[in-house]
Amino acid sequence: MYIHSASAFTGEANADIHFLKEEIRRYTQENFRRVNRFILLSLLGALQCVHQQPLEAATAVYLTTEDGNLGETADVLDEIYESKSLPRPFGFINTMSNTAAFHLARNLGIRGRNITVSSQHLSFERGLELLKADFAGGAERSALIGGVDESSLSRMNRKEPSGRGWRMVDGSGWFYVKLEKEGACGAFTEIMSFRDGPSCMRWIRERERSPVEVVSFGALIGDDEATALRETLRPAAEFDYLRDYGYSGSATACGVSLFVGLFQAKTLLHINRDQRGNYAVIELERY
Amino acid sequence: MKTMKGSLDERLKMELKRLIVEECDVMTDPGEIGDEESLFGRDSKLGLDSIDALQISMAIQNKYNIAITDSKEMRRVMRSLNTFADFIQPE
Amino acid sequence: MTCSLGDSLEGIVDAVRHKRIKLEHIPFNIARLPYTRPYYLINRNEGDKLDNRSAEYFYAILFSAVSRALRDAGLNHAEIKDMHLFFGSTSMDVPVFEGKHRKTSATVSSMFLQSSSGYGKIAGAIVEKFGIGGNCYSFTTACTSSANALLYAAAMISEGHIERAMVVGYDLFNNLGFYGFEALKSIAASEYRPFDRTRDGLILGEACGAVVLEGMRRKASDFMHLGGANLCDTYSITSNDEEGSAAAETMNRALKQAGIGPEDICAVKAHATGTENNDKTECAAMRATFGRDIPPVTCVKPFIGHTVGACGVNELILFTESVKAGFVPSTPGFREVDENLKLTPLMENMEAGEGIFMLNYFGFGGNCTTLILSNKDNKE
Repeated sequence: MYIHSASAFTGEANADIHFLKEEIRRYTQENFRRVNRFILLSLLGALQCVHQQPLEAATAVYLTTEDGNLGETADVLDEIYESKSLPRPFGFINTMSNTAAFHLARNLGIRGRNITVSSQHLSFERGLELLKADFAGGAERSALIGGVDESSLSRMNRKEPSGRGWRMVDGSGWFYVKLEKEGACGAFTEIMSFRDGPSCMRWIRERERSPVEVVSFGALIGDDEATALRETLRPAAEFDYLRDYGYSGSATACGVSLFVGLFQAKTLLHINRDQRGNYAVIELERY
Repeated sequence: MKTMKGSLDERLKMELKRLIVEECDVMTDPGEIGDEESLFGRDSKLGLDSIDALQISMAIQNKYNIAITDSKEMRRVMRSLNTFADFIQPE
Repeated sequence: MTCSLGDSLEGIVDAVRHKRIKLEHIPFNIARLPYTRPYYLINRNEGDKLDNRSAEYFYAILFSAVSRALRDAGLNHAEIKDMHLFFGSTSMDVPVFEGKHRKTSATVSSMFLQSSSGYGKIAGAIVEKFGIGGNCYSFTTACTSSANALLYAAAMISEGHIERAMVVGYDLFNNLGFYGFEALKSIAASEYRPFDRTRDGLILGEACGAVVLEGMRRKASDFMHLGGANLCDTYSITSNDEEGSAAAETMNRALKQAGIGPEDICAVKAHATGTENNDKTECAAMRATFGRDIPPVTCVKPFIGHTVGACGVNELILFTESVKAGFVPSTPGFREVDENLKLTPLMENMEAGEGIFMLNYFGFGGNCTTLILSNKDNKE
C-alpha cells in the first residue's frame, strides 16, 4: 500500500462549527448543507490530504472512528427525550456516522467502496487491515483512509486514556493510498496484529527490515512498556504525538499521518494496544 | 387583527424565507429568494429535496401548528414561496 | 437468531413457511403523538416487554444468539479462541442508554456522552464473554452494516488473512430509530407491502443474529460465500439514483467477483424496504442487471421487519435456513402489481434445492452491498 499523500487536522475541542466551515473553504467551493461537526472534521482532514493531489475516479473511502458522531447523536436524543418531539430529519440521518464518508465521496466525485469501521482503541489499524484485504483481493486499487473523532467527554471523564494529561482535541488524520508505487511519498510496509505483548516484542526484536528511526506509541501503551520498547529499538527517536498534538479517539491516524509530513526520517514503527492486551504495529516508510 | 392572503403578506413571506434558509442550511440571503421561484429539484436555484421538505414541514408544525402529513401535498404546497404562504395563511 | 418470530430456527422457518407474522403497535409516548406505528417486536414473554428492558436484557439477547451460533457450528474451545469478530449495527448500544433512562433522572444524552465507550463496545463485550482472542471489526454503515461485516469476514477468509470469523448483526428497539424514521415519514401505517402498488413505507423490526464463517464446509448443507461487492451511490444521502445505476453496478461487481453471470442466479433476496424510492431504484437495478429475465424475487422484511443495520446477517439466516428447509420464502402482504415497477415477487413459497442466490442490501449514505451465496456442492 503506497502512500501518495498524508495529513492531519487537529483542532481545539468544541471549536465553533463556523470555524470548521471556514477552514474547509480553503479546499472546496462547495457549501456543505445539513452537516455536523463529525462530518465537517472528516471533510476537513480528507480534503486537506488530497488538496492538489490528482485523484483516481475509482477511489474507495475507509473511515475509521472510535466514537463516530457523538455531538449530534446527543442532540437528537435530547430532541426526543427532553423536547419530547420527533427529531429533525437531518439530525437523525446524521446520527449514522457513515454519512461523513458519503459526503466525502460525493464532494470528491469518487466511486468505490464506502466503509465506516470501529474497533476499541485500534480502529485505524483494523481499517488498514480491511483495506489491505481489498487491495489484495482486487476489489480496489486506490483509497482514502482516515481516522476521525470528536473530542469526547466520556474519555476525558474516565481519565482513559488521557490520564497522562494530554489535551483532548478533535482529530482527523488521512492518507491517500494506491496499489501503484509511482509518485508515492511512502508506504505502509507492515500492519501486524498480536494476541499479547511478548509476541509483539518478539516480532520487533526479530524484524530484519531497515532499522527503525522513529518510534511512536498508542495511548494505552504503559510507561514501563514504552521504556522497554525504547530500549529494544535504541537509538530510534520517539515521536510523542499525543503530548505534542493532543489526544482524540483517532490519535493514531493523526499521529502516523503527521509523521509523514514532519519527519525526514525513513522508517516509523507505531506500536499500539487495546484494553484486552491485543497489540497492533504499523510500519511505515517514507521515501 | 386584519389578515390577508399569504402571498400578499410581505412580512409573512420574509418570515418563511428566513425559516427555509435556517432549516435547510442554505447559503442564500432570505431576501434573494424570489416569490415565484421554484424551491425544489436539482434544476431550481435552492435545489431543495424531500428531506428539506420534511425539515420545513416539521418547523411549520412547531411554529404555526399546521401539519402536512402527505409528502405529495407537501411538494405541491411548497412549489413556490407564494403557494407556501397561501397555504400557511389562506386569507 | 432472535427476532419477532422467536428464537428457535425451526420455529422461525416454520412461521416463514406458513406466512405467520407477529406485528405489534407501538405508541409515541414521549412525544404524546395521537397514533401508533407497527413494529416487529421480540415478544416471547414478560421479560421482552419494552418497559422491562435493561442493559442486562440487551446483553442477554446478544449473548444468547452468539452462544447458539457457536454451538450450532460445533466449534471447540481452541477454535473459538482463534476466531475474529465482525459486528454490524445501526443503533449500537443506544438502547442501553435509553433503558437506563427509565431508572435515573439523568438525561439520555448526558449518559450517552459521559459513558459511551465507542462503537467497538459491543464487539468487545462478545469477545470478553466467549473468550474469543481475535480482532474485532464493528461496521456502522447504516442499513448495510452487518451485510458489510459479512462481506469483509468472507473476504478476509478467502484472502487467507484469517481462518474463521463470527459475524453478528444486532439492532434492538430504540426510540432514536423509531422516532427518527417517523420523522422521515417512512413508516407504513399498518402492513408491510414491498413492491406492491399500495405500499406505504417500511416497518421497523429488531433482531440479533450470529453466523460462523470458515474456509471449508463442515456440513453438506452449509452455504458458501462466492463473492460480493460494496459501492457508494453518491446521488443522495437518503435515496438512490432512481435509474439504479450504482445498485446495478454493485450487483454486477459481485457477480464478477463470484465468477458467474446473471443467468446463474436462481433467486434474489431483495432489500425491499417498501419505500417508494427503494423499490423504484432496486427494480431498475435488477432490470439493468438481469434484463427481461429477473430471477424469482423474495422480500423477507414482511416477516421480521426492517431490522436496519442487523438486516444483513438476520435476513441471510432467515433466507438460507428456509432454503435448507427446501423453499425460497414468499412475500406476504404483496397483492397488487405496481404498473410502474411491473415486478411480482414470489407470492407462494418456491421449492428450492441447490443453487446460487443473490442477496441485496442498501442503506443511507448511498451504501450498496451485494452478497452471492451458493449451496451447490460442485464449487470449492
